[in-house]
Amino acid sequence: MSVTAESKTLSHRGISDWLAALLLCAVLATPGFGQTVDAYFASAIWTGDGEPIQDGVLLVREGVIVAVGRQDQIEIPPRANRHDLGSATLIPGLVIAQTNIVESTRAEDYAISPEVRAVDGFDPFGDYQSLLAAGITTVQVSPGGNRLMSGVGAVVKLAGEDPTKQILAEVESLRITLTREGLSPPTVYEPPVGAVSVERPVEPTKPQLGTSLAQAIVGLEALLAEATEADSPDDIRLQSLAQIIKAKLVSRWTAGSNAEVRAALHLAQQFNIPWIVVDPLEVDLLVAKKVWESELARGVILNPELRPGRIANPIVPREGAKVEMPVWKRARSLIDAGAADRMALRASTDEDLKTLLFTASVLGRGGLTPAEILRTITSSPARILGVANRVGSLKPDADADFVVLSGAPFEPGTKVLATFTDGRSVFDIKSKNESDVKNEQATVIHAAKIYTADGVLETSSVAVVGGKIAGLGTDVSLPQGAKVRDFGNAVIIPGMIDCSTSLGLGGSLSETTTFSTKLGPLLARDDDQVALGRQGGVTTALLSSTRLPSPVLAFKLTDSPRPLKDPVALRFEIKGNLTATESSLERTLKTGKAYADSWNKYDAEYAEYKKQLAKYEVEKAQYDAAMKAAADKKAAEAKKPEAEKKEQETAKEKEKDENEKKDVSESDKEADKTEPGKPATEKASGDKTEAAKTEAKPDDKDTNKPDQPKLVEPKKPTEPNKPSSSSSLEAYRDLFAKKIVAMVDVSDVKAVDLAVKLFRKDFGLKTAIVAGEAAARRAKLLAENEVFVVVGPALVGTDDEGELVNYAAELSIARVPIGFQSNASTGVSELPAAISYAVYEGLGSSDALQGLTAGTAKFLGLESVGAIEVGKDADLVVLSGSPLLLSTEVLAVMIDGEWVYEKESN
Amino acid sequence: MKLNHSRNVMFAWVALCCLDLVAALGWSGAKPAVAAGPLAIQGATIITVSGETIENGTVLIRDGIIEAVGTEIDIPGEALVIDGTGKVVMPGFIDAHNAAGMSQANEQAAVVPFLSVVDSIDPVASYFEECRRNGITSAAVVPGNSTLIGGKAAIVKTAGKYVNDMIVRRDSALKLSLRPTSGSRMSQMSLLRKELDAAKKALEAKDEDGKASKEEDASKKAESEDEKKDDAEGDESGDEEKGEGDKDKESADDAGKGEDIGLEAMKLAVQGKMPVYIYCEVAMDVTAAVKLVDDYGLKPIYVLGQECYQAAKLLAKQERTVILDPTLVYWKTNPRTREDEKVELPAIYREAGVPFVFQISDSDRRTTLGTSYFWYQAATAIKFGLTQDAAFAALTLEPAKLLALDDRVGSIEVGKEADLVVLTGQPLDIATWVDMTIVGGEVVYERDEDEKLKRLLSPEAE
Repeated sequence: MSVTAESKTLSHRGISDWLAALLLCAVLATPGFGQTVDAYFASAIWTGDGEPIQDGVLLVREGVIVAVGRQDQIEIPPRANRHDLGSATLIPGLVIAQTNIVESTRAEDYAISPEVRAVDGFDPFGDYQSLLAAGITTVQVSPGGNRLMSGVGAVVKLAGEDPTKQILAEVESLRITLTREGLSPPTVYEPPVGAVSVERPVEPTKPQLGTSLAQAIVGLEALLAEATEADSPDDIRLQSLAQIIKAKLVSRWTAGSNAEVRAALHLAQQFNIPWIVVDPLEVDLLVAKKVWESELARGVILNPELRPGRIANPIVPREGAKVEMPVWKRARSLIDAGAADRMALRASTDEDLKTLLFTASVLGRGGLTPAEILRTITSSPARILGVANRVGSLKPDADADFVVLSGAPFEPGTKVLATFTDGRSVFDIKSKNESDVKNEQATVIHAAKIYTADGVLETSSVAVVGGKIAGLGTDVSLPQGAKVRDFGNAVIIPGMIDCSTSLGLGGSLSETTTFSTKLGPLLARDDDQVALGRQGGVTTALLSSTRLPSPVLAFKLTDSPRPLKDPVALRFEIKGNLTATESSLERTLKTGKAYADSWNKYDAEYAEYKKQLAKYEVEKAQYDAAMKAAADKKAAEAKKPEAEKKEQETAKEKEKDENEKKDVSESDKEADKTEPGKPATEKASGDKTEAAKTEAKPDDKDTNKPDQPKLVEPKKPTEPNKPSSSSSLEAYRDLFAKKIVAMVDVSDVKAVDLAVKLFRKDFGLKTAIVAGEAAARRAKLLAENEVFVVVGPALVGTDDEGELVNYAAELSIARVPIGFQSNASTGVSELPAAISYAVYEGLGSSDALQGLTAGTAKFLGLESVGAIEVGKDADLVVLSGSPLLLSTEVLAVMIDGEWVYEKESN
Repeated sequence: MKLNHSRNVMFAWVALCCLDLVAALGWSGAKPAVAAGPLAIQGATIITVSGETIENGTVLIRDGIIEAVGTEIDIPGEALVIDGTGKVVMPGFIDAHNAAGMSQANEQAAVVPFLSVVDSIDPVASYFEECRRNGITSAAVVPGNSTLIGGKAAIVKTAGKYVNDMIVRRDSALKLSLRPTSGSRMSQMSLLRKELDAAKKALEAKDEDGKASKEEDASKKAESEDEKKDDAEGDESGDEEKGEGDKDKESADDAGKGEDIGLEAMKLAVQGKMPVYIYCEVAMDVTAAVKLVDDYGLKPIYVLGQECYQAAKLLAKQERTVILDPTLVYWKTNPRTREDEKVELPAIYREAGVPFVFQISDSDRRTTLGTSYFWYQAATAIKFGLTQDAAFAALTLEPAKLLALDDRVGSIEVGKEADLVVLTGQPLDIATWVDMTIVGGEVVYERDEDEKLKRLLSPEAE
């Protein structure tokens, strides 16, 4: 290569270039230049053979492994591309000793078809992403197993740049199936080409070899003998077989029972061909050490007999019957017999290939170490397939086929992060995740403490999928492709609720509103104030006009604010002249109640009407059916006389009468169709009688009396009248149904009393009063009447004597439920800090947190927020320490499963 | 179109020429009077394909051969002169692979290497009429894609009264199709290998036989049927001899007789003497085809299905001109992402560096009109990055090379056969028509006399 480069430069370039070229040649002389070396650093490298290397490095050049070993022992070329895989583990690409990944698994007609090659059925352009994603890079492809001798397998890679180079072994082994699957060949029919004549008769179908094991073995023996002896046989099958024997190709025997295994070993030894035994259920013959000393013993392939997601019903063993050894015991005893490096594990079916890294761990029951288990799906199968020099283990000069795992193999939660073949990435979980739908992105968050609805969880995790909390606990289920965030010593609390803000509309709202105003649609997207406001950990805010009364909206502080409940409350005000206010408020509430009541009444009536209507429809349907049957009968009878012309005259008079009746009834029926509400008339009686006669339904038994018009059309119930609807009063319906809350701003103690009397006692509403000091003074009254109090922004004041009064604490002591408000826009972020003062001054932090989260959420009827609980919205606040301490910092805020604030990134 | 026929020619001379032609080419064309004398197309733009395009040039044709091309050509007095002013002359197009033109093609028997399309070619098939109307002057009639070894193809001119008039090359190639007829690709391939192995073995046996004396051989192996077969092949030198041999064995080996003829074709294919069309339905067939070519030393002509583009890189390494599917651009759904993707075959093959020629879809089964015209195929390829010159070559010279006909047709050069298309205007222009098609120096199509086209374009005229 360097020589040609030199001569080319000499002839085509100038002197200066020539000098440069000389330099280039000097560099070219050092080995490996020009071919980039990739160095993969991983916390552990399992080579496939032997014990794992801790803190290992894998050097790859041109798709081939250059070196593998400990990071401190391997010299890394200075120009190498360094890939730090962090805590990941490297294992060799998995090698599967037997699969059926061929284009068509349709079985051949012929029981003996050694000329069939599986390699012809392998599609190098197929989509093998799911297998590569499971870490499988090399497989044996087999030509189907439903025939005695179904053909020759091949060894292929599932990915590669050149499809012809994906084939590692074109002709790998001859498959012979001695189990039941291979022993029921169909009879074959070979039609002659061209016309059939006396000289070329149609031949009958021919039975084929092997309907029992004994027959199959005798037949195979004869066939193999013929193929061995024949010099150059003419039969294509014998020809292929002769070639196979001559080339000492491996024979692959599917043999379960001892008898089948014995037959396989016997035939293989007799004809001196290497053998592989597949799926042995009984290994008595294979555990003899002598067997594995033979050169012909290529290996044994076990079936895990385990299909994740499926449960098989084991057969109850008959008394005295020999119980089969479970697969892990068989594996153990085979290893003890000296087959450790020649024992492979395959997947039960091709569908189960994806789960092989899991199913293989079943061998652990037999005391196999993870390294030994890994060997059965990497280096051992590679050895059995005769491709060990290229794949199956991470060693110098082997192909750089490896898999990056997130942790140690066979450990729960370990995922395949990436798969490489020939040094090329063929699967990468990152690129896969990026294509996933955004809100389906799963996140798992670890923290030291998590404040859940049921208490504080230590060192736990929250799993978030699709914006909801999907899992919670010390060992949370890992959603597919989840991103994991570990916050170490952090504390996670639910997103907080601010009971009054002026956020969301891009500025405060001071206009007059009616209770019919919907504030939700007015919310502004990508509001910078919202982005700032949520940094303190408030994730849900209430919004109303500063001019009361006003409806109150609850919404999420996401980039595109999401209305949670619109309205969540109706906000009133008691101020100024209390007498005047009282009467006007009372009037307002009375009007509202009357409206709500009228609708409640209507709702009740309507529900009754619906019930009646359903009953009516059933009756009506029965009635219609009866009518139709009668009409059909009538029509049939009308036709009959036409056919029998002789009787026509005699029956004429009768018919006339009937026809008249029929006309009437038909027109009647028409009328019935268009006006179902119309009651049945006597006119239809003639039909009905007949209908009753013909119908043998038990329902109609009582109508089965002649000339009795019993079948009366049911009466349709009347719909109740709707009360007049008024959009401005509509909100009262929810208010009086206690679906929403009355929030009352009060100015002094008297106003508190009035609010309690009017809203709570007189009208029985779910009431929250917005007050500080005044509420604290009436704490007992409020507690008795179960009134909620919204306090803030000032939580601590001084009384007449100048003593500090902690309103929030006083209320909490009296067991009055409280919530907090900031009445601010961007200042919403300061709310937790403001509360931390009250906490400092004696408010219990759990009471405070309750008021900021679950308590308020419950009172306001915001079911989806306020607690860390499976199924709730993923509104999480990650804190550096205990909540509601001034020293605690907000590290991150998540709303609806999306990180909306992160301290790090700011 | 005016034909200015110079009438100062001795009639006897015309007659003599005429006889000559008939004798030489086996010709019995419809218009011997026109074919007889020299023919000149004057003042036209001549796209020679092999060289520069000549403006205001003249093509002189004598005895069906291009005698001269250029701007300053002396037109002999006796020549029939066609005024080519404003017109464009191109070499006739060549259809490198088409199963049309046959009446009752074999679609049933899978292994029939002994069949020849010649026995089925129908000179009055609408396909040939369409060919002349659209400027196709040579076509390879090839057994279809439905049978494993479909038989022998033939190259024909698209004009002629009898099959023998049309034939350029009999048994021009063998057709293999890797699309499974029944069962799996594995059994398909094993069957194909079996046939190829048999041919190889027969060849080896022949070599051995050649060494030993024939009589000895025959007496020794008289008992064995199969050896008899080999024997017959061994006597390939004399056809009559072989025939006798066959007769002798007829009663004993009836099926073998068919195979014998077939084996001849297979042997030629394995020797690389007869090219082999290999139809690949999907990309994995390409890998199989490449492998077959390597293993058996075949001389392949790859005929590709739509999906084969996945193997474009592999095809590029083969360095052979391939025949593309008639559908050059189509949509397919990615099975994993469920997204629709547009597949542009000309762009993919061009970028991969695979030279290609086009196929046209069977006009009887077409669902879209465009793909049944070479014009449309060329225009599509140009849309996806092919140069105009390359696209024209892909209609003419490239298929000629692929079929080893480039010494006879495919470009406008002195000495080549006069298979020409005269266009009313610039090629690929939507308003351009094929004005005249000339095969072997004879005008076989004139738009002015195309009654069907006239009826199609102005139905009221009837």
